[in-house]
Amino acid sequence: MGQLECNIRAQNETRANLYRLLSLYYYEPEKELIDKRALSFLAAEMAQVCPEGAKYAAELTEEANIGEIEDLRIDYAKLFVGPFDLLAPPYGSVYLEKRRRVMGESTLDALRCYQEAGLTMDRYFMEAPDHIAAELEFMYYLSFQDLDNESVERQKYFLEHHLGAWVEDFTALVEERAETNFYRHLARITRLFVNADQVYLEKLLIDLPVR
Amino acid sequence: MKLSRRAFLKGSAAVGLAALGVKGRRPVLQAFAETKSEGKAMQGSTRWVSTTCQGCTTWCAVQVQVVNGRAVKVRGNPNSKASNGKVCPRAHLSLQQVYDPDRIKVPMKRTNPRKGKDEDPQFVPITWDEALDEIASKMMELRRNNETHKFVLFRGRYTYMRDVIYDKFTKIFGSPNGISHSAICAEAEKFGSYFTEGLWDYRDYDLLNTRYLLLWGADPVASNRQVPHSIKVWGEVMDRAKVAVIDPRLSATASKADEWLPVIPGEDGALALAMAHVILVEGKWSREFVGDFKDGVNRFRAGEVVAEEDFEEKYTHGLVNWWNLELRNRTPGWAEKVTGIPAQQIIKVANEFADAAPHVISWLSPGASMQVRGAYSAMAAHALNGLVGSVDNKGGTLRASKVPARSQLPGYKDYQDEVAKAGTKYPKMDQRGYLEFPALKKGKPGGGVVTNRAADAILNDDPYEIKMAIAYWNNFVFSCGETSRWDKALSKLPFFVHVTTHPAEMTNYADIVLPAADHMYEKWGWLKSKANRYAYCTMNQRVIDPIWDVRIDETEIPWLIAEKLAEKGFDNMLRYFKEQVRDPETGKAPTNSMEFTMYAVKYLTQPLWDPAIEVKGDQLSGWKDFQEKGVWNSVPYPYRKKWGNFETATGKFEFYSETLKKSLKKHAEKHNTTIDGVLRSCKLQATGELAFIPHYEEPYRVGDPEAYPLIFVDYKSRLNREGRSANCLWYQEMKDVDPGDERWDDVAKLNPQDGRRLGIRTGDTIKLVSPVGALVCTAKLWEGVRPGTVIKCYGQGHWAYGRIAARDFQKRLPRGGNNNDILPAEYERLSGSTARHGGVVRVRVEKI
Repeated sequence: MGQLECNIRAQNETRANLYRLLSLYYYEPEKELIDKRALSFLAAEMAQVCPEGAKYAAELTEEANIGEIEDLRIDYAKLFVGPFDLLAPPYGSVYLEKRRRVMGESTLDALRCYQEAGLTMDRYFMEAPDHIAAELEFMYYLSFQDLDNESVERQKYFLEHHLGAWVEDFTALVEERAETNFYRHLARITRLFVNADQVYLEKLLIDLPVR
Repeated sequence: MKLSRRAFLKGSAAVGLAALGVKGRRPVLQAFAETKSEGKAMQGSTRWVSTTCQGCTTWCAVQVQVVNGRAVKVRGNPNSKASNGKVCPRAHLSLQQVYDPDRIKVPMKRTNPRKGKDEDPQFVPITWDEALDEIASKMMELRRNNETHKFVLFRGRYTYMRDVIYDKFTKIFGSPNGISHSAICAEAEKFGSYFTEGLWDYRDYDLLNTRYLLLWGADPVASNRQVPHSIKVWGEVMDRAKVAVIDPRLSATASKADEWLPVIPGEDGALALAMAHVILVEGKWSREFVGDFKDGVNRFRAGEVVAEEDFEEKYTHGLVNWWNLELRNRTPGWAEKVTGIPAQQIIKVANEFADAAPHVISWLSPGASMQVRGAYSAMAAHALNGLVGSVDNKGGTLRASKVPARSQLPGYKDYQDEVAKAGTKYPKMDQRGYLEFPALKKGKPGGGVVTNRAADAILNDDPYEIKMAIAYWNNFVFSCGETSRWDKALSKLPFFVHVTTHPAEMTNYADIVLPAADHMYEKWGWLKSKANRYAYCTMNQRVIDPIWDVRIDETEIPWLIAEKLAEKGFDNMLRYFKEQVRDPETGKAPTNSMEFTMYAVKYLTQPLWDPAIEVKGDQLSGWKDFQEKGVWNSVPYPYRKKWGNFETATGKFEFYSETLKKSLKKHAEKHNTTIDGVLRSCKLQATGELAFIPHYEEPYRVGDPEAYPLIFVDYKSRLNREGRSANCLWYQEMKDVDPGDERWDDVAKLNPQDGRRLGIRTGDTIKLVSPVGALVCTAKLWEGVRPGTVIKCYGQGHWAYGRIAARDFQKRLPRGGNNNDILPAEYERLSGSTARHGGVVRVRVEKI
């Protein structure tokens, strides 16, 4: 294994960790995920691929200013669940189709991507298929696959047409409307990482040894 | 959305997470499951699934096109003989409702104990188990204290699966309080047909055979009722028949009519009486149905009394009495003064209507009946059908053939324990049957609901304290007049559960919010309705897999609560569900909420789909066949079936209502008073025998004409899915399909004459102020409004229905205003109906 491939593998592991972890943060807040260790891990992994985003993660760790989990639950509900004003709808279709609906054409395209990769929605996942948590998890899943042109192209397509295409608008809403530091920072970290990853994948396509 | 697999979180999160990315392991999935068909894109599957649209009370059989699991299109169910494959715009809007990101997705719990319009409930998601546990605990507490009657089940829109949650669930628990929304819907209209022909129901209309349509505030191409059928045949109707619309606003139907009679609000009764006068004076009543003078000489002359013995009636009762007591003085000249409609037009319309008879329709709607004194207007308008023999006749007003489905699950009484038996003996909490609320549903004093009074009942602990309520598919703090009372009542209610598909204003007061399945796409149920001479049964089916964690309101939720109650020691309800509701095909008892739902739907509809049971109508080959077709049609309704055997006290069509006399007498006796006393308590003017006939009553209005110079008129949109569609983009983008309305706005329309006088221009932001409240909206000057009135559509003004419905959701600023904020809590008390029409309130317009 050459140095380049080694680096790519290491980087990929970090990417997988980050996509996985960020995905989990878009479920209802869990104590184990907002403790210092989990957040330090987030900061450390971010530092590998996106130093700017790592700052925010580090801030969350150091300041330990997460607050009460009850406050996070209320903020989480207002941002992503409702009822009443859903402050930051966590659905791709809302941004990509601009009609404030779920299950649009873009949602079906996301589903198609999942199916092509051999995935279906889990029966206990009671959300729209283009929920931010699902799209982040899908990227986690893809970054597990063997690194070849096809796999990278698949990831690039998904970022271009889905996650990467709406992460900007979505995280802007979270940043603007969240009442807790945690969700404001999470939005920033998500945006910075996904954007950085798009740049990385572009570069990777050039660097990747042709097989 | 909760993490469903939490095992990896145990121990050190960081270590657990670090391990996840390591090559060689399989990815741990949360949202996804792996399939073996990697690389295969989804198969393009397309199918049409039958279900029911309940965007209004037509209850249309529809079909939904599902492509790759996603609902994309709606059409009328081609198997329906009532609507023949047609739908109206409401059905299409449903696609935006079911896929609304603002829907309730998971059970939620209030964390701010303070309640009120301006309190943020600070809801947090909880699991179904937690939610049900809390609900059942509160119910058990009521049981322990022998206070089960202090529990209320508020029902809004429903399917016929209502029997489970509204009736059996409530009664086995031990409460008399199944309280429905019906009185804010249209009960006053049913009063008109009941106390003339004994029918407490909506009528069907034989549009294809009619030659004259007299529409009392009805707007059938837009709303109320049978809209798709009306739209489909309207061209043919206009080819064959004349159409006259009585309405202070130029409705969609009025815009296409031959005659528009912009009556002064609340004077519909006067107009109907004058038309009856004309028909009699001109000698144009139906000889065949009503009878004739013994010598064939017409003695009906304005002002003159007729001897009763000179007239021989056939299928009617009390014509001469009606004439002598009332009609003889109700000349077109008199009516012109009170109704604002020229005498010549009254004479013309009455004559043309009678000339085309008996194939004519006098079509009564809420607009002409849901008025404080509207009961008698309703009788008068419907009596015209009796006068010309169009009742129960070809081209006239019809009843419905029977839909032989079961209306009830098997008996429940054996499952009521002592606590439940004692609890259900209390009177219902909505004050029905009080002296001033006779609510004479089907003639029975206190037989009908007085929905809007429930707020006062809670506020005043009258008849008793209410401690807990579960409400489903309703939004009373928005949909009942004088909303401020509901704000206070719901703030006072100690424990409130709202079961709903969308967050609504009522949700703001909830302790627990439960996400309901959408009635058209996610639910199982059934309904019966009628149009085009066919009665039908239509099924609500689960068309798509719900995206969110919803349950079916009328069946699954009662089952789930019953399970929890059983865990806590009260298993009667669960035993009832298990023992009495079996799968009619296999005899199996239900083991979970969905099996229970399916068995209950199958049981109630069994006579329609079971080939072993013979019925008059479609013969289906089994449950599968019914599911596929989605609709069962009756035989066409035969004409003149009721002539000679109307369900009235006399068996005849009553112009002098012996039926009403009996009911009023019973109510008066119950309260040790006279019938005059009852009428006085009900804000009516009549005394003596006028109480039993359609007669003139001056409109009752709240507000002094000096301070509130304009009369307010409320109407419904052709896009209103019962006031629930304001969060749909299509609703806002196409709101101008309602004549006079504007997109993305809520406009109060004034006649340009009034606008000039008041210095109001189109586009001005205005405040409508009534004695009970105020709202802000946009002014529009429009000729389709009777001068002296302000006309505004109901439906906008939501402050808690989603981001599109509100102008600024964060600040709770509604888009426009809710008419119910300025409408007073007034009633047509004889039927118990809310009175929101007939110009019940006066307003002033302030420019801001």
